[in-house]
Amino acid sequence: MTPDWYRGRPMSPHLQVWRWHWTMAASIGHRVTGVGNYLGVSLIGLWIVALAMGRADGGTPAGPLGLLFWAVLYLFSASVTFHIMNGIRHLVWDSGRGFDPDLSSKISVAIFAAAFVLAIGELYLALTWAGVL
Amino acid sequence: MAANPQTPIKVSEYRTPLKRVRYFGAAGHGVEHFIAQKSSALGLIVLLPLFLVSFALNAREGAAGLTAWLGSPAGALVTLAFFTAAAYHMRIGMAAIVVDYVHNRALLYACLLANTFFALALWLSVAFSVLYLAFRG
Repeated sequence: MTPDWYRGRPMSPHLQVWRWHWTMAASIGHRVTGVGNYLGVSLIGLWIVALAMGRADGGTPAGPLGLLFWAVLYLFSASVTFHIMNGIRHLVWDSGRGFDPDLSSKISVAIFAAAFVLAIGELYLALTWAGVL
Repeated sequence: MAANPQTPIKVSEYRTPLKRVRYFGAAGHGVEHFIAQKSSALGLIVLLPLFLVSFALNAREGAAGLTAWLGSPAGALVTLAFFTAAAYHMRIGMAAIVVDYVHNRALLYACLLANTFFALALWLSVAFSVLYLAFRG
Protein backbone atom coordinates (compact mmCIF):
# COMPACT_ATOMS: atom_id res chain seq x y z
CA MET A 1 0.00 0.00 0.00
CA THR A 2 1.51 3.32 -1.06
CA PRO A 3 0.48 6.33 1.03
CA ASP A 4 -0.60 9.42 -0.90
CA TRP A 5 2.31 11.51 0.45
CA TYR A 6 4.97 9.07 -0.70
CA ARG A 7 5.22 9.84 -4.43
CA GLY A 8 8.52 8.06 -4.95
CA ARG A 9 10.37 9.97 -2.24
CA PRO A 10 12.47 8.16 0.36
CA MET A 11 10.51 6.92 3.39
CA SER A 12 11.57 6.76 7.03
CA PRO A 13 13.55 3.60 7.82
CA HIS A 14 11.44 0.89 9.38
CA LEU A 15 12.63 -0.83 12.52
CA GLN A 16 11.76 -4.27 11.12
CA VAL A 17 14.10 -4.09 8.13
CA TRP A 18 17.10 -2.36 9.70
CA ARG A 19 20.07 -4.20 11.10
CA TRP A 20 20.48 -3.11 14.71
CA HIS A 21 23.48 -0.97 15.53
CA TRP A 22 24.40 1.35 18.41
CA THR A 23 23.58 4.67 16.73
CA MET A 24 20.16 3.32 15.73
CA ALA A 25 19.60 2.17 19.31
CA ALA A 26 20.62 5.64 20.55
CA SER A 27 18.17 7.23 18.12
CA ILE A 28 15.33 5.01 19.34
CA GLY A 29 16.47 5.60 22.92
CA HIS A 30 16.21 9.34 22.31
CA ARG A 31 12.55 8.96 21.29
CA VAL A 32 11.68 6.55 24.09
CA THR A 33 13.32 8.73 26.77
CA GLY A 34 11.69 11.78 25.15
CA VAL A 35 8.26 10.23 25.74
CA GLY A 36 9.41 9.28 29.25
CA ASN A 37 10.44 12.89 29.91
CA TYR A 38 7.02 14.04 28.64
CA LEU A 39 5.30 11.79 31.18
CA GLY A 40 7.77 12.63 33.96
CA VAL A 41 7.55 16.39 33.61
CA SER A 42 3.75 16.10 33.49
CA LEU A 43 3.67 14.12 36.75
CA ILE A 44 6.07 16.56 38.46
CA GLY A 45 3.87 19.41 37.18
CA LEU A 46 0.78 17.74 38.62
CA TRP A 47 2.62 17.37 41.92
CA ILE A 48 3.38 21.10 41.99
CA VAL A 49 -0.29 21.88 41.24
CA ALA A 50 -1.35 19.51 44.05
CA LEU A 51 1.01 21.25 46.50
CA ALA A 52 -0.46 24.66 45.60
CA MET A 53 -4.03 23.30 45.86
CA GLY A 54 -3.29 21.80 49.28
CA ARG A 55 -1.94 25.14 50.40
CA ALA A 56 -4.95 26.95 48.94
CA ASP A 57 -7.28 24.69 50.92
CA GLY A 58 -5.62 25.96 54.06
CA GLY A 59 -3.99 22.62 54.85
CA THR A 60 -0.42 22.24 56.03
CA PRO A 61 1.83 20.32 53.62
CA ALA A 62 2.16 16.62 54.39
CA GLY A 63 5.31 15.12 55.91
CA PRO A 64 7.83 12.84 54.19
CA LEU A 65 7.20 12.11 50.52
CA GLY A 66 6.16 8.61 49.50
CA LEU A 67 8.18 6.03 47.59
CA LEU A 68 6.03 6.61 44.49
CA PHE A 69 7.19 10.24 44.41
CA TRP A 70 10.85 9.23 44.60
CA ALA A 71 10.34 6.46 42.03
CA VAL A 72 8.87 8.96 39.53
CA LEU A 73 11.64 11.49 40.27
CA TYR A 74 14.31 8.80 39.85
CA LEU A 75 12.90 7.40 36.58
CA PHE A 76 12.57 10.95 35.23
CA SER A 77 16.18 11.80 36.13
CA ALA A 78 17.50 8.56 34.58
CA SER A 79 15.51 9.16 31.39
CA VAL A 80 16.61 12.79 31.21
CA THR A 81 20.28 11.87 31.76
CA PHE A 82 20.34 9.82 28.57
CA HIS A 83 18.22 12.33 26.63
CA ILE A 84 20.46 15.31 27.49
CA MET A 85 23.70 13.50 26.58
CA ASN A 86 22.29 12.21 23.29
CA GLY A 87 20.70 15.64 22.75
CA ILE A 88 24.08 17.35 23.05
CA ARG A 89 25.36 14.91 20.42
CA HIS A 90 22.42 15.93 18.20
CA LEU A 91 23.46 19.59 18.59
CA VAL A 92 26.98 18.62 17.51
CA TRP A 93 25.50 16.78 14.49
CA ASP A 94 23.56 19.95 13.62
CA SER A 95 26.88 21.75 13.21
CA GLY A 96 27.72 19.24 10.45
CA ARG A 97 30.32 17.39 12.50
CA GLY A 98 30.51 13.85 13.83
CA PHE A 99 28.75 11.95 11.03
CA ASP A 100 31.46 9.30 10.65
CA PRO A 101 29.60 5.97 11.23
CA ASP A 102 32.37 4.37 13.29
CA LEU A 103 32.83 7.43 15.50
CA SER A 104 29.04 7.78 15.86
CA SER A 105 28.80 4.18 16.94
CA LYS A 106 31.56 4.61 19.55
CA ILE A 107 29.94 7.77 20.90
CA SER A 108 26.58 5.96 21.07
CA VAL A 109 28.14 3.20 23.16
CA ALA A 110 29.81 5.82 25.38
CA ILE A 111 26.47 7.63 25.89
CA PHE A 112 24.70 4.38 26.84
CA ALA A 113 27.53 3.46 29.24
CA ALA A 114 27.66 6.92 30.84
CA ALA A 115 23.85 7.04 31.17
CA PHE A 116 23.91 3.61 32.84
CA VAL A 117 26.64 4.58 35.34
CA LEU A 118 24.96 7.91 36.15
CA ALA A 119 21.58 6.16 36.53
CA ILE A 120 23.10 3.87 39.18
CA GLY A 121 24.48 6.92 41.01
CA GLU A 122 21.08 8.60 40.81
CA LEU A 123 19.41 5.44 42.14
CA TYR A 124 21.74 5.53 45.15
CA LEU A 125 20.89 9.22 45.78
CA ALA A 126 17.14 8.64 45.32
CA LEU A 127 17.13 5.67 47.74
CA THR A 128 19.16 7.67 50.28
CA TRP A 129 16.94 10.75 50.07
CA ALA A 130 13.78 8.62 50.15
CA GLY A 131 15.04 7.20 53.44
CA VAL A 132 15.30 3.61 52.15
CA LEU A 133 19.07 3.37 52.59
CA MET B 1 14.27 8.67 -6.96
CA ALA B 2 11.59 6.34 -8.28
CA ALA B 3 9.09 7.34 -10.93
CA ASN B 4 5.93 9.16 -10.00
CA PRO B 5 3.52 6.35 -9.00
CA GLN B 6 0.47 8.39 -9.96
CA THR B 7 -1.28 7.74 -13.27
CA PRO B 8 -0.15 10.40 -15.78
CA ILE B 9 -2.89 12.76 -16.96
CA LYS B 10 -3.08 13.00 -20.77
CA VAL B 11 -4.42 16.55 -20.91
CA SER B 12 -1.34 18.56 -20.04
CA GLU B 13 -3.15 21.92 -19.78
CA TYR B 14 -4.74 20.72 -16.55
CA ARG B 15 -1.37 20.47 -14.87
CA THR B 16 -0.30 23.46 -12.83
CA PRO B 17 2.97 24.16 -11.02
CA LEU B 18 1.05 23.33 -7.82
CA LYS B 19 1.40 19.64 -8.66
CA ARG B 20 5.17 19.79 -8.49
CA VAL B 21 5.33 21.55 -5.11
CA ARG B 22 2.46 19.79 -3.35
CA TYR B 23 3.52 17.73 -0.26
CA PHE B 24 6.98 19.33 -0.22
CA GLY B 25 6.08 21.91 2.44
CA ALA B 26 5.53 25.64 2.35
CA ALA B 27 8.12 27.88 0.74
CA GLY B 28 10.17 30.28 2.81
CA HIS B 29 9.65 28.60 6.15
CA GLY B 30 9.52 25.18 7.74
CA VAL B 31 12.63 25.30 9.89
CA GLU B 32 11.03 27.26 12.75
CA HIS B 33 10.29 24.09 14.71
CA PHE B 34 13.80 22.80 14.16
CA ILE B 35 15.35 26.05 15.43
CA ALA B 36 12.83 26.30 18.29
CA GLN B 37 13.60 22.72 19.34
CA LYS B 38 17.36 23.32 19.34
CA SER B 39 17.06 26.65 21.16
CA SER B 40 14.86 25.22 23.90
CA ALA B 41 17.25 22.23 24.11
CA LEU B 42 20.16 24.59 24.80
CA GLY B 43 18.17 26.28 27.56
CA LEU B 44 17.12 22.95 29.05
CA ILE B 45 20.72 21.70 29.26
CA VAL B 46 21.16 24.34 31.99
CA LEU B 47 17.62 24.64 33.38
CA LEU B 48 16.78 20.96 33.76
CA PRO B 49 19.70 19.93 36.02
CA LEU B 50 19.23 23.17 37.98
CA PHE B 51 15.52 22.47 38.53
CA LEU B 52 15.80 18.73 39.13
CA VAL B 53 18.67 18.91 41.64
CA SER B 54 17.04 21.79 43.58
CA PHE B 55 13.66 20.03 43.49
CA ALA B 56 15.12 16.73 44.76
CA LEU B 57 17.26 18.40 47.45
CA ASN B 58 14.22 20.28 48.81
CA ALA B 59 12.04 17.17 48.55
CA ARG B 60 14.23 15.63 51.27
CA GLU B 61 12.39 17.96 53.68
CA GLY B 62 9.06 16.53 52.48
CA ALA B 63 6.14 18.42 50.95
CA ALA B 64 6.70 21.35 53.34
CA GLY B 65 10.26 21.80 52.02
CA LEU B 66 9.07 21.66 48.43
CA THR B 67 6.27 24.17 49.01
CA ALA B 68 8.69 26.58 50.68
CA TRP B 69 11.23 26.25 47.85
CA LEU B 70 8.61 26.64 45.09
CA GLY B 71 7.38 29.83 46.77
CA SER B 72 10.86 31.32 47.23
CA PRO B 73 12.07 33.82 44.60
CA ALA B 74 14.88 31.55 43.33
CA GLY B 75 12.72 28.41 43.38
CA ALA B 76 9.79 30.08 41.64
CA LEU B 77 12.04 31.58 38.97
CA VAL B 78 13.89 28.32 38.24
CA THR B 79 10.61 26.35 38.14
CA LEU B 80 8.90 28.88 35.84
CA ALA B 81 11.88 29.02 33.48
CA PHE B 82 12.24 25.23 33.41
CA PHE B 83 8.55 24.52 32.78
CA THR B 84 8.38 27.19 30.08
CA ALA B 85 11.28 25.66 28.14
CA ALA B 86 10.12 22.10 28.88
CA ALA B 87 6.50 22.62 27.76
CA TYR B 88 7.76 24.22 24.55
CA HIS B 89 10.32 21.47 23.87
CA MET B 90 8.06 18.52 24.73
CA ARG B 91 5.24 19.81 22.53
CA ILE B 92 7.48 19.96 19.45
CA GLY B 93 9.07 16.59 20.23
CA MET B 94 5.74 14.80 20.69
CA ALA B 95 4.37 16.46 17.54
CA ALA B 96 7.30 14.97 15.57
CA ILE B 97 6.47 11.50 16.90
CA VAL B 98 2.74 11.93 16.17
CA VAL B 99 3.45 13.08 12.60
CA ASP B 100 5.68 10.02 12.07
CA TYR B 101 3.28 7.38 13.33
CA VAL B 102 -0.29 8.66 12.92
CA HIS B 103 -1.31 8.41 9.26
CA ASN B 104 -5.05 8.95 9.53
CA ARG B 105 -5.65 12.65 8.78
CA ALA B 106 -8.48 13.25 11.27
CA LEU B 107 -6.68 11.35 14.03
CA LEU B 108 -3.42 13.17 13.21
CA TYR B 109 -4.94 16.62 13.70
CA ALA B 110 -6.81 15.46 16.81
CA CYS B 111 -3.54 14.18 18.33
CA LEU B 112 -1.59 17.33 17.40
CA LEU B 113 -4.30 19.53 18.89
CA ALA B 114 -4.50 17.41 22.06
CA ASN B 115 -0.70 17.62 22.38
CA THR B 116 -0.73 21.41 22.04
CA PHE B 117 -3.59 21.83 24.52
CA PHE B 118 -1.92 19.46 26.99
CA ALA B 119 1.44 21.27 26.89
CA LEU B 120 -0.31 24.62 27.26
CA ALA B 121 -2.50 23.36 30.13
CA LEU B 122 0.54 21.93 31.94
CA TRP B 123 2.48 25.17 31.57
CA LEU B 124 -0.44 27.38 32.64
CA SER B 125 -1.40 25.30 35.68
CA VAL B 126 2.20 24.97 36.91
CA ALA B 127 2.91 28.66 36.32
CA PHE B 128 -0.26 29.64 38.18
CA SER B 129 0.52 27.24 41.06
CA VAL B 130 4.09 28.55 41.43
CA LEU B 131 2.92 32.17 41.35
CA TYR B 132 0.20 31.32 43.88
CA LEU B 133 2.79 29.77 46.25
CA ALA B 134 5.13 32.72 45.72
CA PHE B 135 2.59 35.51 46.32
CA ARG B 136 -0.25 33.97 48.33
CA GLY B 137 1.29 30.87 49.94
